[in-house]
Amino acid sequence: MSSNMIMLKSSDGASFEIEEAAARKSKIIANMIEVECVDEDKAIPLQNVTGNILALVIEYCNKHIVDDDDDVATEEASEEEEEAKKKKVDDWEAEFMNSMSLETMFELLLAANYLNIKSLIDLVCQTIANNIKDKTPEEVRKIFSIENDFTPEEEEEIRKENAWAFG
Amino acid sequence: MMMMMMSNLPHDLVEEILTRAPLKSLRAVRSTCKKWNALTKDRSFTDKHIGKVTASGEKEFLMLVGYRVYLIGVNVHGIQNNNVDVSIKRKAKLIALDDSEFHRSQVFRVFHSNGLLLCVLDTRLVVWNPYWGKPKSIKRRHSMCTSSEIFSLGYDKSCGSQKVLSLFQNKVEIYDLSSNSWMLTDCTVEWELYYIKCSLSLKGNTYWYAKDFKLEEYIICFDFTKERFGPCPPLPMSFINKRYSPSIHAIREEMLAVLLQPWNTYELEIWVTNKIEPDALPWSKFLKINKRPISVMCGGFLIDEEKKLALFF
Repeated sequence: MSSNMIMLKSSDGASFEIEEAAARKSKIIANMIEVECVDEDKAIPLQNVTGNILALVIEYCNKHIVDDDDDVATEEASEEEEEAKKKKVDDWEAEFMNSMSLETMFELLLAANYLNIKSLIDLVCQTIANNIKDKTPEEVRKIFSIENDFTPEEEEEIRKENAWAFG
Repeated sequence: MMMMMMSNLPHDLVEEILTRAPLKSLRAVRSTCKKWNALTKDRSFTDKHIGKVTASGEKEFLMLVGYRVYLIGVNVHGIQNNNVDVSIKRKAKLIALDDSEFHRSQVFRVFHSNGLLLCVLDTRLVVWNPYWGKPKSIKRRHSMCTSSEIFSLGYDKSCGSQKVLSLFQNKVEIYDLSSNSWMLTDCTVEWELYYIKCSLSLKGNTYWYAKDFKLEEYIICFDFTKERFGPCPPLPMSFINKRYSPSIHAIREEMLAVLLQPWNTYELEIWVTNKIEPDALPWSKFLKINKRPISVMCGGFLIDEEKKLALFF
């Protein structure tokens, strides 16, 4: 296992040291490493990600690189161990997301999208989507600060179109 | 610095988020704003939303409980120490707003074919796709004959148009959803049927289990492309000289499965086939057990060939 360290630099100038294996969770960074445009002494500039968000991305990558290592090491682990491990990751992810505001989630999602980290995109999208569950349209608008742009006629039309629905 | 909001996200990320909201939130999502309403009507939204459910390994099916339609999700997580870890949850209930007949009457039957659902009410049929919305009402030709009129849903493979079948007193009428009219067909039912039940749709056609007055048993097929009763494949003849109650089931729109349970023993067999041919169905045995899991007859079943599992309820 390589333990090369690389440097990442946020848009607001903060520098972060990260294990190469963890940084490779980002397809973009992995690609940069592949084509050798990473100078060992220089930090990789990430112009679209601020320091506070990059810190979260790194926290996520570090956590998941450890778990991925475990997976390789214990290929013959029993199903129960697999289950327990999965639960541990799920619990960590729930805790990680739980402390975040919606605004931070949107920024983290943009960063994960820019850095191309599929599993983080999935996690953030699912967490945001959970806010919609069992909510009325008014509640959804309030949570996401969305303006109701329907005219009363359009509202009636939508009601008719969706008269039959699973609810 | 400007506050980051959902409306600042690019279209594809908003879609990624909304495809993860449960189907039961679709009405609320569409009623939120114009942008979300348009986005969720897009074909790519539907494909992604269904893809997320499929990828989760969950199997969804419809259940009629107390004359109401429920969407049920079954998830088999694994088998450990002879215990099957399975979760079965009621994911959503079919709700019809401002529909006094729906609330007053009972939903007698529900069918699905190619994403479309057909609900049989007292005086009308309602055809509806959960993703498209816009329920369509069709007036029943023979209202109040709820028990003797048989319905099913299928599609014409040559043009894709979806059709509803009504079978009443040996006459077949077809409602074409693209022309919005009932047409009496000249096709007749050749058999003197004593019993017909368990309809299901598979690749556009409908299959029933039927018994004639000589107590011969068949699987009857209606071909919606030719608007004819197709070849009638025989059931797998396993329990000779035993009376049994079969039920049929489609697997992933690809295979036909039949469950056979003799009345006087606790045996049970499931046979499957992926070829529907006129004379000989190449049935293969999926499962045979000498003691049924539950002492009463099983009403329905689901099978998973990959996990080698059968679930009875």
